Amino acid sequence: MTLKGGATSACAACKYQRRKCIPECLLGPYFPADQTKVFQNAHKLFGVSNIVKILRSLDPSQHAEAMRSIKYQANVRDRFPVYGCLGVIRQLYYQIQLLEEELHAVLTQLEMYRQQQQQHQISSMAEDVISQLELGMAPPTTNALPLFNQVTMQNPYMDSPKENVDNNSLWIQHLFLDTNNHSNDNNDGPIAIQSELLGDDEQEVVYDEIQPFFDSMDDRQSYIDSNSL
Amino acid sequence: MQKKERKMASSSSSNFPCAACKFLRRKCMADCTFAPYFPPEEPQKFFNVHKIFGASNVSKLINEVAPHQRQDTVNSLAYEAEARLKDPVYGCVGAISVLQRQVMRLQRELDAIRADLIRYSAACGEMQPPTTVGTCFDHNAGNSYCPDSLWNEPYGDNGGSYGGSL
Repeated sequence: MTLKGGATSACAACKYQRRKCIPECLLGPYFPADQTKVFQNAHKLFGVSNIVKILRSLDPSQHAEAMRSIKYQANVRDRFPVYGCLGVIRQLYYQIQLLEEELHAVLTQLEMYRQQQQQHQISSMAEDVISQLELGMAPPTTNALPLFNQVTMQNPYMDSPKENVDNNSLWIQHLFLDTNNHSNDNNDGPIAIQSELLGDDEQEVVYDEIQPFFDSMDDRQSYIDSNSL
Repeated sequence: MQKKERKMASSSSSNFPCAACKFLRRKCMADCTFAPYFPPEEPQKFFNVHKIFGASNVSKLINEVAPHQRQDTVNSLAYEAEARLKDPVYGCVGAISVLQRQVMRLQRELDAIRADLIRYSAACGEMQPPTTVGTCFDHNAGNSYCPDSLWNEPYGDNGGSYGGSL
């Protein structure tokens, strides 16, 4: 709210629209006067009236989160005018794919290592038995059993984490593949998958963890070639 | 008869208005910005982007990109609009958050297993050391995988204070 004497200034939204910023201004808390670029991005993508419409359709307790996502989306669109947030999603999917492959490779290597170690233990045990027999000593009776029990022990890394990763990767694969086949009649499209990904207990977005990917994402080039994906 | 011919000539070449012009109830001209990207058989697509972003904003965004990128631009806008309609609070940003968490979880898992591998190789010193698995990306290297957070970087009036180079 602009006062005589300049005690407080209008929010970026009211400043842009050259109108008086009242204390009850809906956008005032989210577009401070020093963040004109943020407001410009949001205005360019959504427009003031559409932002206000979105806020009015929500409960006041949800306004802050909604505005954070709107500002984030607008900033990403400013940075990547062609693909916006969809480009970020595709990049994340690609990275998940790479991580899963790497995880699988490392798990395989770990398993090979364990098998190698177990075989080494078995062969050293066998050598002990043979040498004892040659010396005329009684063969061991119970010592061999714990070793074989260890051999049959399950690898904890090969159980549920891989399974969960596989399940999640299938969901994300659907999300990735369906974005190019944007169909209005498809109820199993990317948005349905998105709500599955969110789940029931992950409703709140922790924005501090969101780290969009600037340097590798060349909006003008990379995705033209990746259309075949 | 002449009036009718003139009317037909002024509409789109196929005589079918695009979804945008149909919705906006206007003549679909031959040089309509929306016609190539909003075919009449997909009315919901334009409805969604118009509801969330507005037709004039979409038109400006389309005209700002190169012609060969406009279809991708429209498709991404349509995706974001649909996501925002389904989830008015988070829109498509919710999916980004979920995927980001998954990436971090996988990275932690990978680090834990690598640590196990190193312990194994240290404990079994007489065996062949494992081959080093190539790192697809290193989240500590400050490269594209983990640039500065757009979220926490305020914009100054110079317009370029957020992380990474434009």
